[in-house]
Amino acid sequence: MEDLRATSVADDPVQRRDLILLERARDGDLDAFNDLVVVYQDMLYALVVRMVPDRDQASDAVQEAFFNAYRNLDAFRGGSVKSWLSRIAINAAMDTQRYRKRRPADPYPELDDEAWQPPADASADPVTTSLMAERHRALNAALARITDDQRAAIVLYDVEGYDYAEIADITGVSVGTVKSRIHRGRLALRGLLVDRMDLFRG
Amino acid sequence: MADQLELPEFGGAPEPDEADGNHEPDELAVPAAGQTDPALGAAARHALHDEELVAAYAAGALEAEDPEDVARARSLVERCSVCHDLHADLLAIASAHRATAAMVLAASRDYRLSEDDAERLRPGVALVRAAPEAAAAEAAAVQPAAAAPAGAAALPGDAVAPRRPAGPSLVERIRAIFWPLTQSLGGSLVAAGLVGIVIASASLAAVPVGTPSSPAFGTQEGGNPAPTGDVALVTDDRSSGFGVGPATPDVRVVAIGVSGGAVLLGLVLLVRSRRRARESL
Repeated sequence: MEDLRATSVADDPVQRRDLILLERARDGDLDAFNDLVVVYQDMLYALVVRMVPDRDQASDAVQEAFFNAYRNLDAFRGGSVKSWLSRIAINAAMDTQRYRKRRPADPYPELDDEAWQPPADASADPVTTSLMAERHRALNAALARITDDQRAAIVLYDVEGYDYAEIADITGVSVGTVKSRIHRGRLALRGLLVDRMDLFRG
Repeated sequence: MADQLELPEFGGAPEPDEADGNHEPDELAVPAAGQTDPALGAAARHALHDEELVAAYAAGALEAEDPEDVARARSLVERCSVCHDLHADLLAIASAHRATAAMVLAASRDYRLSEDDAERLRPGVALVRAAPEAAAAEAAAVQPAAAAPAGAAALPGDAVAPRRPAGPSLVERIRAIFWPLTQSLGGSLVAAGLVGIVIASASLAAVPVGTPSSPAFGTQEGGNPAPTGDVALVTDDRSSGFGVGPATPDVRVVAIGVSGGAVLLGLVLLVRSRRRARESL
């Protein structure tokens, strides 16, 4: 078995911990894998919910992502466990989107919940926190109303920080198509948010 | 679109030059009633502008591409108030979106895997687990009950029972995997064979072998058969109008034979699979 820690370029303690857990999981330690699940389930759920705004479908996609990760532990070739899990979750979300395309369903439900939480370090300033939460709610509501392809491209670009080529690779379309989806998606978002733009300006 | 480079500054909303009649295309779009309304005039001029170009410019996606596009986009943003606002809004939305990336959402369930999940998902486990189970069932069925006679029951089992390997052999595993398919394969063969027999028989009944209109022959005027190109099917007695018989069997006869074989093979598979199913009970 290859030593995953040797393949890591960063000496980040978080990455080192992840790699140790992953190595132990590869050796059959289910608790080690479940430790990884606990560490990353909220992050992956938040990512998938952005792409698949239906909470139940998103939840199923995350579950499927962890199943796939466990099934393919041997396919991990080093690097960031977080990125590896994110890619698997994104693929699961894309599968969900494809499934929705094949079987046109109801539009995504409008969600106006308070479940989203700001990062801990931003909680010091209540005004900023409140503004951020309000923006987030408005953005999420608008995101749920644009096309799946546009939403996926925008989330991967803006939230996950992938570049155009990486998104093209993940989504299986050309770079030009990715750009077009992002630009049109943003235009659509702006159209949906036009009455609330004061929230974002300044 | 070169005209877009000539747009007036949006700060002072341009009015159409009615005196000299020298209207730019954008200016022609301004409705007469809105000539005094700068916002309406700007909106009308903006109607012809490429918003996607502005969006691409806002995303910084044009830098590596056509410099002409960059110049056009910059010109639109600098000279058209609506494009300028659009550009600013798109930047604000993208920025807000990036800022909210840090927002977290508690997972709605606990995604930890149970032991059962892990067992089910372990790579290759479906195949490996299914095979020994099926093979074990098979072994239990095949092992003769007589191998452990009443008198031998008191003896240690391994002293009297036929020695078997600790686990199922490779052949047993493969058989165990594919055996469940035999029943459906047998059924399919029987069904397909029967259909083949019916169709070929019907065809034969309609047009017996060797008749002039048989598919093996074309017909000439006067009813004489003419070879269709397949020389092997043409008899030596063509002048009589009827062939003595084809040199190779009629395809329908062959079909009946093959179908009959399929039915027989299917029946054998069905009988064996049923017997095996009974034994494994």
